[in-house]
Amino acid sequence: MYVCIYAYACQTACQTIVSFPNPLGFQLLYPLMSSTRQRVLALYKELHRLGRDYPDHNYDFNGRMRRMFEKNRTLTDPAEIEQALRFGEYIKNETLALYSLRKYRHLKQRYDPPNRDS
Amino acid sequence: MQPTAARFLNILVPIKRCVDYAVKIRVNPQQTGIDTNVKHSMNPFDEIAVEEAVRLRERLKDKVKSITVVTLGPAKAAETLRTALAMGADSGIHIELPESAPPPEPLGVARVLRAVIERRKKMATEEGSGTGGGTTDLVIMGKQAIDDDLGQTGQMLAALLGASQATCASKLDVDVDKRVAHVRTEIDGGAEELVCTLPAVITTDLRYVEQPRYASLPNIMKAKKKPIEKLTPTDLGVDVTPMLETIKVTEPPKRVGGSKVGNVDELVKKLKESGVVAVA
Repeated sequence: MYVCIYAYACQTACQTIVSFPNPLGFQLLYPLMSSTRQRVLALYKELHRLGRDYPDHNYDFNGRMRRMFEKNRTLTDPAEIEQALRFGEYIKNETLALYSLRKYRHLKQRYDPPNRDS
Repeated sequence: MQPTAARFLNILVPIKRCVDYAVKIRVNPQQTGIDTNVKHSMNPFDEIAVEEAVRLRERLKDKVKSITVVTLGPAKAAETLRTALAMGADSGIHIELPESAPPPEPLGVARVLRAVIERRKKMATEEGSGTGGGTTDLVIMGKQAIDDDLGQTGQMLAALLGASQATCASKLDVDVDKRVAHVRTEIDGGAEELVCTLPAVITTDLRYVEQPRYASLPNIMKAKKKPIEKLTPTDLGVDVTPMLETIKVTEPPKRVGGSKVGNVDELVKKLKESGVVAVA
């Protein structure tokens, strides 16, 4: 998952980011106003909340998601950032589909099982 | 109950906080009930009901004046109300029960809901029609709760109100001007099309094609601003103590193991009896 996490880094060390020379310097100089930062943070929060309900307890959804975010913290190319955000949205939709399908299948099996004689 | 006259719909959606569908149920050590120290969530049938109310508003737009969710339960049931508000309801009513109180029975719940409906009607006539009151035209609820599977509250409420009822509904359309609801209900061997005059009580079945929407984080944040009214059964003048007393709850007996056979012929005979077919 290629998602820029410089926004997260900003929370912990604003000063170092500001002094880093970068073609996207204007975005880094005013990290709090960046819409990309807001999108990244919103995506992270949403995925974290979804990950809490993951059915398989042996699969560390939130840990993996966190590491994927951290791997992409130094992305600077806007196209790459967009692609990463799109991938994050895709993962979110896939996880939602998994949850709702699982729930639907469980309820259907319990309350509306297929006829055995047809 | 007199047919409602106004040209707008007020929808009431009762919901219930149940043990989550994915939890493995266990009997508690005292053998008086199940272990309730587990994950709880909204009853899936009630999620479908909330979803249907919201979709009805998307179809009818301004003709739906309000969608109110109501729940009867302990303090934690407010979280379930917040989820429903995040899905698109306008306001919530939380009728709080103490933690140690036994779970209410369907007749008690139906009486509480009737009291809520009458209270809202009274509030509307007293203060003119504001957002707090109004006649309830439609009650949409799940057909049964997944923890007790009783499936009685909807029918009892309709009887107490004298309203029309359509249970196990899989499709709902409301003609607001004519004050009727066209409902398709699931019955054994097929479906039934009903036309109910409003006010009506509709209980939703599983066979809705659309899945309930996911309450995303921004919606949950927005839902925190929506009002939740807190009441108690005594405020409404209803006694919700159960009429039945649960004496004992036990798990079903464990499955008995297999049996031993003496020789191959006996094994083949037993296999044939149990329906195992040889593959060539």
